[in-house]
Amino acid sequence: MTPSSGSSPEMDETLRFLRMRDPLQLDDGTVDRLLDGMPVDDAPPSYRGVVELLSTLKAAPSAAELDGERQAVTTITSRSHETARPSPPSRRSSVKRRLQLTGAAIVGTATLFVGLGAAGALPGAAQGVASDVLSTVGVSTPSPNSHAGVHPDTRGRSGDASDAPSSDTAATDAGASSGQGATISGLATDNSTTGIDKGAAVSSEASNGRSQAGQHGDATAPDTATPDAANPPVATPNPGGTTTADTASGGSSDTGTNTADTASGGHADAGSGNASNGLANRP
Amino acid sequence: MSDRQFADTLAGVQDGEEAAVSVLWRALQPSLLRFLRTRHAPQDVDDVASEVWLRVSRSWHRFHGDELDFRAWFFSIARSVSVDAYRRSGRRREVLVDDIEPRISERRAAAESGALESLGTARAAALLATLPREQGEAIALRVIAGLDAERVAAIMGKRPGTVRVLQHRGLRKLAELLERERTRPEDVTR
Repeated sequence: MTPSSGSSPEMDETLRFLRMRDPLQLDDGTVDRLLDGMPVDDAPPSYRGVVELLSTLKAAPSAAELDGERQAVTTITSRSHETARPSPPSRRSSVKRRLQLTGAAIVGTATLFVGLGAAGALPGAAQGVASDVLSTVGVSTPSPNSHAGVHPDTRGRSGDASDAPSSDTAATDAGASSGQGATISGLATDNSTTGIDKGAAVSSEASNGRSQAGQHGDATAPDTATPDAANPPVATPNPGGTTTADTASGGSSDTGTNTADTASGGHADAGSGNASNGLANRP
Repeated sequence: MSDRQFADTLAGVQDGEEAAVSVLWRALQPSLLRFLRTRHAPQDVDDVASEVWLRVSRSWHRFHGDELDFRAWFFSIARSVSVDAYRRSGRRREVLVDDIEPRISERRAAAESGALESLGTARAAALLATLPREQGEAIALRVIAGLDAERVAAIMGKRPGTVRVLQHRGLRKLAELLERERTRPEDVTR
């Protein structure tokens, strides 16, 4: 508030007193008027220079400031032409453009769906829909089950697998195996067999007789073909060689000194039988 | 410029008419130079001003609004270009003593007349440049660009109340500076 703002004489006196204490004291109204441009005479004495300065900053343009107008305008205009200057799109054309994009997206999606459907490349359910739709317009497309073989074509109906069309070997096998599950289940729950026998029966049934499970005895029983370490066929330790081998093999060994001798016409040094001779012949 | 005149000018500018661009350039170029003189060294001002116009011309076909809106938009770009240029050069306006101090005879004449008639726009801008950056910017955008406190606040990213405080403090500092100029003995400056 200033003395010129129509305030009471008491307030004017207060402001004068404040300015005497702080000559640069300003109120908000005076700040605004200084910035807007107030007459020098109306300004507080300490701000008259500021008023001059601010009015200078607002002064009319000088010739120097407008120098080079021709060249500047030409440059600016040409550069603004270089940048794309499409007229601002109206709201109507914006909506039209959006509709065009939506239409193109729908057509594209439909084309893709029909194309994949005709090629049979869609997932099962989608292929079924595509097949149904295209069949109404006379276009033959693969059904979703054309590659399914004997596998169920309907979710949750695996029990009907034997009803699947059977035109190949697998289908025949599937027909033959009808009821096999029940048989296997019966074997598995039959208390008349246990252990290896039950396992062999189940395995054989499940594999249509191809399994040999259980036919080679009990895996937990000692294998008689395996040498019994507790009862070796020959005393240990032994000197090894032909005699030992013959004893261990029940006379079946063909190796050793005799064989070597025979093969070499008596010239072999191999085998333990010749070892003593060899040693004896050493110098 | 009336609203109608500005609308016609803007339409011409957006259509790329040189005459309309010329009208706009004459209306804004002096203010732009004065604004930039408060922020940059004199030798950099013309280059920064050219960059401002080029950046404005790239986008003015998208502008909608009245003259005051355009001025606010124009000076927000000017401030942005100025900040970029300042960052590139790594320096703020180098305030030269010769820029802000009138010759002794001129200063004496100004002091005697009680007004600074000899104060040119360049020197006034140089004086404004001596203020703390935000104070000088708040005053320059209000006085030189002719924007109200709300628009200045929007450009500076501050509240209008904060801008008013900055302007208040800036005016006070200017008054102190001018008072020191007026009372300084001659032998100090020579």
